[in-house]
Amino acid sequence: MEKKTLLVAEHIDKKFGITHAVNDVSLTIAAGEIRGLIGENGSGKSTFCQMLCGIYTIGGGTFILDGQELHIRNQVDANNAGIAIIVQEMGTLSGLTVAENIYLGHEEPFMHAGIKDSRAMNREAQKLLDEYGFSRIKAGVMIDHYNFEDRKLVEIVKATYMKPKILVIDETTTALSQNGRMELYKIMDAVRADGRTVIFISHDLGEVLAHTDTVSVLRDGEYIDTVASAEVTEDDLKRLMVGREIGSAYYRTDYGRPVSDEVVLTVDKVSVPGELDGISFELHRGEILGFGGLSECGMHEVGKAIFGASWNREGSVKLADGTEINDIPTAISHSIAYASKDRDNESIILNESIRNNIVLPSLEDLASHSLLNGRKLTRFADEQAKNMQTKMQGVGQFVSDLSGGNKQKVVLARWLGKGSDILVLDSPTRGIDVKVKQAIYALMAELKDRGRSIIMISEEIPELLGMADRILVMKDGKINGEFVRDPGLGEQDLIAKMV
Amino acid sequence: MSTRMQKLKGTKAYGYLMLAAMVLFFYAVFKILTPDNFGSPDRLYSYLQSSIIYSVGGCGLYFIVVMGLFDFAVGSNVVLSSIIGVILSRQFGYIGFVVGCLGCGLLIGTLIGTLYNQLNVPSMIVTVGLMLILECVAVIVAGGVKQTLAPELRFFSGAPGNIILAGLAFLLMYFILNYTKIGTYCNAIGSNEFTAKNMGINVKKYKLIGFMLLHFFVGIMAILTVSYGTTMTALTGMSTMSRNFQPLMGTFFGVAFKKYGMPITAIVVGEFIISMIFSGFVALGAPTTIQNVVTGAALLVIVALTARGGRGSVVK
Amino acid sequence: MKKIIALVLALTMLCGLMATAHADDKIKIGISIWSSTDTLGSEVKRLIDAAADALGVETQWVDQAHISEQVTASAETLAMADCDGIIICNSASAEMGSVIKTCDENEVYVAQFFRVINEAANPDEYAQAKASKYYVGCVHESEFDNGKTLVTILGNKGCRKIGLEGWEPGDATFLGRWEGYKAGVEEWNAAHADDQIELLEPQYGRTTTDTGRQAAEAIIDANPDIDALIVAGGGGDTLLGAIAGIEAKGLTGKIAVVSTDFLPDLDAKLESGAMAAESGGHYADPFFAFLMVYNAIKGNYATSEDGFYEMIFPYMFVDSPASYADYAAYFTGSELPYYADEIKALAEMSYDDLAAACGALSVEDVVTRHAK
Repeated sequence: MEKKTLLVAEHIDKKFGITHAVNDVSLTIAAGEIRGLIGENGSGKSTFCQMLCGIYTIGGGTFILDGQELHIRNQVDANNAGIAIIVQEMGTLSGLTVAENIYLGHEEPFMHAGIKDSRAMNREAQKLLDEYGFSRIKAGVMIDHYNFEDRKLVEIVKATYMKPKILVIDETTTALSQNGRMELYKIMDAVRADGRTVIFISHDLGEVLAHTDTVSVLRDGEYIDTVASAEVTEDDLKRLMVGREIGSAYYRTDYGRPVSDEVVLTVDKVSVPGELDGISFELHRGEILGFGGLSECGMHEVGKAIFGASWNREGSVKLADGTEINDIPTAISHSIAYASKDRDNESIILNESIRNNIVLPSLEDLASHSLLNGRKLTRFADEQAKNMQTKMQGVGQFVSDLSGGNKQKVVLARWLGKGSDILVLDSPTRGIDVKVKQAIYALMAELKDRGRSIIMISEEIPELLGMADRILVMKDGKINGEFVRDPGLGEQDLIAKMV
Repeated sequence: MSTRMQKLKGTKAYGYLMLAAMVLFFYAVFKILTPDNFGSPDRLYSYLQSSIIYSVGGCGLYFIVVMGLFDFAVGSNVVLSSIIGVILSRQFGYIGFVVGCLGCGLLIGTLIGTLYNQLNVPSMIVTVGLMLILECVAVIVAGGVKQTLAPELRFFSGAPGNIILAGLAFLLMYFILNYTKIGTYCNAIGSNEFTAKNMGINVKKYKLIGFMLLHFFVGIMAILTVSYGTTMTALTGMSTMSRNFQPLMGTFFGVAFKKYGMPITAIVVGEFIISMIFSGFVALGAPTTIQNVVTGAALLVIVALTARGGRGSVVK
Repeated sequence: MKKIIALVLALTMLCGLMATAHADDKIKIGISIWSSTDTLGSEVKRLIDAAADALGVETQWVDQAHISEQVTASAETLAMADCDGIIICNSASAEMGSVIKTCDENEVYVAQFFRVINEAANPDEYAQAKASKYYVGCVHESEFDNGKTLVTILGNKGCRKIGLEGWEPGDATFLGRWEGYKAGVEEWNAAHADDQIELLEPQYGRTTTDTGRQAAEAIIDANPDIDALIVAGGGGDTLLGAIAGIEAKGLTGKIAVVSTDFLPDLDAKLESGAMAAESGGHYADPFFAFLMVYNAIKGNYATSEDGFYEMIFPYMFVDSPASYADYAAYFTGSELPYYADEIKALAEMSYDDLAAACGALSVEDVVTRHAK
């Protein structure tokens, strides 16, 4: 039976200055459907949804929901119209309780003559949390006491408790552990079963195909096509996203290449209270050493520990020449680079230019008698950014204007400009579209060939299998398994050591 | 840390424990050093009374500090509102006094909030400018003459009047924070203004409300100040600036203890600790300069212990 | 809207600037004072304004709250405002180095009031003052004698444990008075071996009534057995606060309060026992500094590059309602110690005659001249 049309988007348009973010996009979505929405970074998919949800005002065109034209000024209007969004970043507010976050902007049911009934609000919020199976989260407690994942779960409750007609999930799964993702998929299925609709945005094409009914593709702000998930493969989607055939070499294709015996970095009995428990390993020249595991297994702390960024680390991190790495300046001066998983907060300075981000660790090298030459810095940054094929207006452009993929390119450009020999990359392709991912994988392979050593920390098993020479699987802060690159190595082998 | 302790940490009970520990600590230090002339019950009562004026101001400042704003016009408001209250009291008695102080405070808050919203410049700059203007207005209104509150209108100069009025102010703040949207929205705006706006919160409206509430509380502070001192002289030359800082110290305590859900208690106890330190040094016969050094250091230590970000966290 | 508000503010500023423009042919004298509106400050202003009126002099006032950087800035402000001369009440003597330099550079005559640069304590500033052609001199009271006399009065009234409340640590006037208090105590104790006076270390009540009260209450809490409190000064508000604090504790009349700077209702306070004695009536001190600078500008008083004028102004002491009555009648309200014709006559005097007139000023002197 043909499903009833729920949402019609007619000629939706949006410009940000000279950037035409969404260009005359028209599509329809049915009720009781999970629609995937994919595209490269800068394709307009997030902007399209953010207009639907009231985060941005509509530049042109109309949304028609259930036959009614929508007039949305902000998220509350969108909520009232039956549209909710779960965002990629932190969507809850510190300084408020869990209940206050859930009902923020919708306190009216608990207001009597201007007086707020906090008890009733807490009670209702706790009921919701219990219904969702999140009873360990207490409604009356300040949200600051909960970690990122729990706060995301609260956000999910906030977005869905009003049973919106359309639920937009914007690249949320990258922030969740496996357990968290399972919860989210359950909710998506429940929404669909209820005859309501989910728009699911993700860069994980496998996930998109597994959990959606149909997939719409945007490219460069324009609508390309909508396909049935059951009838296409990931390669088909990639082709639609990019507009051409992606080369078969997405990941590395070489197997059996020996790794050098030369040890460049030794990590010996490193512990970080509550995170790492006596891990030891060696990194070889020209090796891509992968770290995998569940979200809280401690692998992300490995990167910080190696870079000297863990203030309470025990054990030793030593270079081949015996230099102990105990702080960040020593790490940088001894050619170690680090790209954090939390790119926007820990790797990049958003309110600064591309140029200043790239030259930052290299200023001493670029200075002449302690003086800096602006033109020299600009030339240097320009060269590094272009080497990475960064899509930008110029190195004077602020990083905050760039897409996630281009921000990551700026991070890599910085460290390559510094000439780092050891690169610690934590989730290097998180939130990045397939074309940029491919470029980063190619770069990693090239760096390996040039004798640089890479530690790649990733929650994406295909990425580990595809790129690493050796994979260390972590569990509960310890190394629980070690695998050498082999065409027969599969996801189940790694998962068995993770759980 | 034991599991029980970890569970306790972050709860209101823990917050109360921390405050009590601080009070006990400072009390013990001075009681040991100078047992005969410090810390008897009637003296403690005296320390409390001299601190509650600033606690009231600290409560008012909380509304805007929590939103990341600042206000240097508090002192000039105290002066101007006091003067207007005293002038009106001559014709209308207590009603004129109270309405004059509160009304003037509210008007000033409305003016500051409106200017801030319209001019779109940092609050610090707006309020410094207003401070200079309000000081001059106070001189003009006072006619260059010291304003003295009539003896028969000094109910709020000491107990029980000052305790009652301050208590009402604290109750009002408790009500606003816990039973209206204002507290929630001020916290939301302070946490992430962009997200708050996206939640449909009228950010400008609530910033205006924040300033109005602050200066209303400063109006209450003016009643207590002029009743306490009996007179008020209008002064120019940014001399009112020094009145801004004592209530602000209490606000810092309030913000530090916000995560325990007890800002009002923290403000009152914080000001009491500062008053106790001041009196303790007087009891020791120490000069004012040492007192100020230690008060400042105590504030740094206390806020660092309660509000310090983890190592490696970003602090501005 | 933002532009309209900005325009209105700019116009306001412009009007303010225009109001301060002055005619070139008039002498202009700037007055740098801690406050022109508190008890003492407003009385100073009353007499200076009368003198300016009588002599056709334009004045410019700057209130600096005795904040160091504002004191030094006030001299620059007044020099830039085309003042021909400045009279200044600084806070600490160290500020005078900068003030004198500014006046030398801008060829502006300057004199201090209520202040003197102590040669022993500030030798550099003293030498600079002596060498400056534009530093005319100073008018000051003998704070030492003032302090000593007040303590003697307290001793005679039976007070034996005296609390001390200053207003700002390091203030030159307070330091002078403090030396006097200590000397008075030493003298008393030397003469009364079995009947000693104890003077406590000072606490500081700043210059507002609420801080004055807070300091007084703290002193009493820490020393409940004091029978006297010296409120050293601070423009009057500190004293009012202290009196309120004593009253709140029910100790009016039980703690004898003395101070410097007459209160407007001193008679009532003496009557009720809220005050035991006060020295003051010295609001005419700046008036003489004003006349010194006026005559220096006119070229009547030669200034030296190896010295300066120093005029001592006498305090008046009052310790009963009766002794205050005449002061009140001739110095307060709309009365001033000098009428316009007397001001003109004083302005014509030689320095020595002016200094003699200054030293001769007393309640009796004014009663004689202005007897109704």
